[in-house]
Amino acid sequence: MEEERESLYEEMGCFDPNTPAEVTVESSFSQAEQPPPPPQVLVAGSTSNSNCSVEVEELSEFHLSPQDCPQASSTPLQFHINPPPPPCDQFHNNLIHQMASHQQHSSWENGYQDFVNLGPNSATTPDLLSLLHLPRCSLPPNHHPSSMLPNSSISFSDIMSSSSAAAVMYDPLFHLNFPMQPRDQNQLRNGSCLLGVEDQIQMDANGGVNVMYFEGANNNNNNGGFENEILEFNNGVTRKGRGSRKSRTFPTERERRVHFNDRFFDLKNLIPNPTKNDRASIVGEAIDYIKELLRTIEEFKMLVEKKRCGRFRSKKRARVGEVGGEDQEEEEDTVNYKPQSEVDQSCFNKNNNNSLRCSWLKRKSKVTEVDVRIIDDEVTIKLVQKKKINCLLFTTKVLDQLQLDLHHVAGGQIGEHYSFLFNTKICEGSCVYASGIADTLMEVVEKQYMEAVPTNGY
Amino acid sequence: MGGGSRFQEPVRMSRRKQVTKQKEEDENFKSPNLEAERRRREKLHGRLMALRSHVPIVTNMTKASIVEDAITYIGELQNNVKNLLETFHEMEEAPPETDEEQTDQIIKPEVETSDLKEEMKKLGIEENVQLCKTGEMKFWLKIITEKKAGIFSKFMEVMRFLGFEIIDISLTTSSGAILICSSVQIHQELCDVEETKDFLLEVMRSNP
Repeated sequence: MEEERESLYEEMGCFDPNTPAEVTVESSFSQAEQPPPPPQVLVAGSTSNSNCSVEVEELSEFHLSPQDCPQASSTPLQFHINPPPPPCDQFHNNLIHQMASHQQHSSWENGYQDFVNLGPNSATTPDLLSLLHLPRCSLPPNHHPSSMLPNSSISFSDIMSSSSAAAVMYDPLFHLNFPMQPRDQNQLRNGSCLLGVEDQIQMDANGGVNVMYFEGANNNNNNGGFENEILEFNNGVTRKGRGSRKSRTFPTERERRVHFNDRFFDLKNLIPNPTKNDRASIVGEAIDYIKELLRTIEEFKMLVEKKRCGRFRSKKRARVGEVGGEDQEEEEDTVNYKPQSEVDQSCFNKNNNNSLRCSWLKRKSKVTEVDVRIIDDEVTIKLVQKKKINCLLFTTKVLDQLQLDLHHVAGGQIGEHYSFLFNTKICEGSCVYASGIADTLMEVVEKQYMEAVPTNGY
Repeated sequence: MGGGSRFQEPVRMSRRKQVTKQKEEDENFKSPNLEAERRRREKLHGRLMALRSHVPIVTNMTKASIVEDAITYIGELQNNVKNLLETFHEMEEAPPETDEEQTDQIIKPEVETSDLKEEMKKLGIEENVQLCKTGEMKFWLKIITEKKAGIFSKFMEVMRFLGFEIIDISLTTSSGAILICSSVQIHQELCDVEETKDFLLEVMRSNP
């Protein structure tokens, strides 16, 4: 075990392998009067080890005195360490990956060693931080870890990748379910510890990872008493505010709320055609808008690609044509097609290998709705407008203008609205794009509607 | 205090009593919208999470920063779109190379239409107009004609001219022919159905 640990230290390279440190720990621990609690140890960091088997012998010296924890039931004192790699879920893999350690269990043990090495002697800030991390995550051993993960583990991994290396270093410790050590607690209840707390909170803000566990800890009634300890530890700083962090200097909660509401308003202003004013709808429409923008970007990229290829092709042809003389245009083209074919082929293939151009967007107003979908060169347009004007007439004019070849049209009056569906094809050489079509159509139809005299447009 | 003002007693009620009475009232008073409010909050929360999953920028994990990051991201995307659009337009107003393409283009449609005409003849599709009365002021109209550019807008113009309001319409194209079926509502009595039919056919055949 010793050699294993030392080799792990080397891997981590974050602290000196200190055999004396172990001794220190042992001695401090040995002062614990009560015998170690039932031999179950829990490392909360293992996200799926709540049901894992236990191996105690190595760890007997690490048992902390239960009396330091307000709970006699010693739930937080229990440690599970699972030497064989546990069945890991994605989160854990990311974690380990980030830590760049080679073995899964090694990171826990490393972190654990980290903790262990913190004695009264240790004064390095990072270690302090890691120590301070620990009490915040107090999970009951039965708490199923996966339920603490957010719905999208994808975003979680984003967070992981975006957090600083320093922040990540602390993460494995975060999961260790350590209560406060008696000795260290006394020492740390000074300015230094507050500092640590502040940083911790800052790190919370930056890393983002820990927040989940923080909130998870919030919800555990088991550890209510334990959390009180933390509160004291924080020296009376409110938990809700997550410490005395002031983001953007809000002296009052009210200002914070006002600022938050303003954000929604800003978001609403970015969205074209916002319908409702309530927060949920604004967010919903923002999501749709983001998707639409992404689609539009894809579409444009593809169009630009096509244009480039097309231009390249015609460039070649032009050059050849000049050489051959103009009367012989067609023949020259066909004759000279072969040498060009390689170039054409590559462009052609590229376009063919890519997926078909497709894009979709919607434009909505109080009286009109336009839905445009493009797949390759076919455009499907749906138009719904409140019955007032002859919108079909204007639509057909717009379609002619856009050089869209009508293949099918269907629709009519439905209740108070006109509803039409157009299947069209883009004429070759025409460069229209979804938002262009939608905007033009919307504009024309809306304008006509607004300008119409309140009688029948007929 | 508000509740107390109705009675004379509260003036004599001790401060402590008032406070506890209020507390009691608050406890007994549960929002009738409790469930609705909860659902509303959950809905907003769910949507915020969804928003976050779409936005690659993550600074903080607070609700406020989700919205802020979304705002930044949308701004970025809009810029991208703008730039791409500009690039696209620049490419369009392009150099003489495109002339070759255009000449090709002009050639093509003509070739196509003559082909289409032949196809239509081959399949025995004939030009046709039918106009039948289906109600008091309602007619049913069917037109088969050769497909040409801009023919549908021509049709719509004629409809407007004749004062026919379209109730529903269906247009299909196949093998160089176009078929239009429509139910129309009229507002003025039709003088002569036959005349109208001929008129329609003539208009649809005509070249712009």
